[in-house]
Amino acid sequence: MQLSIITLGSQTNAIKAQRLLREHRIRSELIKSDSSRTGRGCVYSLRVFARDLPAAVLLLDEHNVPYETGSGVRF
Amino acid sequence: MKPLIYLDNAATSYPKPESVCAAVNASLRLCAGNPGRSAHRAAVASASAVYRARETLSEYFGAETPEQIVFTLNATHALNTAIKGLVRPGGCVLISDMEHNAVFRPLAKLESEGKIRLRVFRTSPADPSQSLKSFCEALVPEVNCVVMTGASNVDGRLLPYRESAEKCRERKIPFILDASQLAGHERIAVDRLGITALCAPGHKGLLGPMGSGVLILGKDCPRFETLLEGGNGYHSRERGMGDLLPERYEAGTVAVPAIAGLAAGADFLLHTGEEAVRATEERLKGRLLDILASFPSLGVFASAGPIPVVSICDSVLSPGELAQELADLGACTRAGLHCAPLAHQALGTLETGGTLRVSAGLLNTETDLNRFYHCLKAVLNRKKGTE
Repeated sequence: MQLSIITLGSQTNAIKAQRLLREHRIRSELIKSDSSRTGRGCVYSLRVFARDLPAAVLLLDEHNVPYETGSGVRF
Repeated sequence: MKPLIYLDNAATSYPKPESVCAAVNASLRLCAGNPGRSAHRAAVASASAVYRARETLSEYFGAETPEQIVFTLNATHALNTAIKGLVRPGGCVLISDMEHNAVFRPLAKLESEGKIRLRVFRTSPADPSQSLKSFCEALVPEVNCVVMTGASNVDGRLLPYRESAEKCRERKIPFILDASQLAGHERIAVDRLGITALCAPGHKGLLGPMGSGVLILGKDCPRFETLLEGGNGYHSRERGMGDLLPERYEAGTVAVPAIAGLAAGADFLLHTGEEAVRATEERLKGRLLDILASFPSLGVFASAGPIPVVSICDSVLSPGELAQELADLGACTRAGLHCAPLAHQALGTLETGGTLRVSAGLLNTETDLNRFYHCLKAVLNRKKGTE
C-alpha cells in the first residue's frame, strides 16, 4: 500500500492535523520523523494513504495548518 | 480540630471540584509520557490530553484556535512572558493604580533600566465609568502598550478592561490583561475583545491546581521574543524556538497533571454556566458584606462589582493580628499588602500594614460564611473585653 508523509513540525500541530483528518474520515498515524532525514531535527508527521493525500492537504490548507509533504513511503 | 473556614480564594481557590482532583490523579496514572517528545503511546496520550486542555480553554476564553493557549507555571510567568515580549523600548506603558507586583515589578525593572516610562491611571471602586474616563485621559500618544488588571486582588473592583482593550485596538497598541482575579468569575472573550495577551493563574477562579497558569494570545498577536529558551520537541537542530504556537513559548516539559486539572476546572465552569457562577458569587459576596457591616469597628473596602473579594481594617487590631486570631479559630484569610503596594497606596493603607482580605469562592457555602461570622464576632468581642 502506497503511503505519504505530511510533515507538521510540532506535536501540537500534528495532533491538530490528525484530529482534523479524523473528523473527515481520513486515517492517519502520528509518527516522529527521523531527525537525520529532516535536517532540522525532530519533527512530527502524519502517515496517510497516498490516495488520501490530496484531500488531506486540501483540509490542512482550508484550516491554515502549516505542513510539508513527501511521498513514496511504503509499509 | 476546628473546621476549616477557607476564605482566601483570591490567593488560591479551595476546595477544588472533585473532577479536578480526579483529572490530576488520572493524569499521573495514565498520561505517563512526555508530551511532544516522542510518538509512542504514552507520549501521545499525554500530548492528546494537553491538546484537549487547550481546546477547553480556547472555548472558555473565546480564542479562535487551541494553539493560542500557552501553558505557564502561573500568572506571573505568563505576565513576564507577555510584558517582556510585547513592550517596546523607548515608549510609555500605561497601568492602573490597582496592579499586583506581577505586573508592576517587571515593568518597574524595565523602567529602572531606562527602557520605558510608566504611567498610572486612577480607578474607582464604585464607578467603572470614572475609571474609564481616567484611563482615556492617561492614554496619551506616547503610550505604546497597556498592561492592566481586570479586577483588583485587594477590594475586588472591576476595571473597564473591555473598553480599554477596544481603545488599544483602535490605537494599534498591545493590550495585556492580567486576569488573575477575573478568570473563572466572568467569561472574557479574548478574540472578540481584541485582547493581545491574557494572563491568568490556573489555580484561582479557574479552580485548577497550583503550578498551572495560562497565557492566551489574541489571534492577531504578533510573534514576540521568547522569555525562556530550551527544548520544545521540534526542530531541535535549530538555534531558535521556532515560530509554531504554542511551542515557541513553552520551553521544557509542561506540567501535564496540573494542566489536566486546570482543564477539568475550566470544564466545570463551562458546565456550571456563567450566570450560575455569577449568581452564587454575588450571593456569597452579599452575605459577606452583611456580616462585615454588622461590626461597626471595621472599615470595609469593597467594590460594586461581583468579584467576591473584600478588604477590612479594624480600629484596634492590626490586619496581621486579626488574621492570626481568626486563623486560631480555623478561619483562613490574608493580611498585609497582598503583593499590591500600588493598590494599598491608592486605598491609603500602605503605611498602616495593609488590610485583612476576605475572599470567597464558587465552592464556598453559606455555612462557611456563618461560621466566619461567629469567628469574627468572637475575636472582636474578646478584643472589647481586653480594651
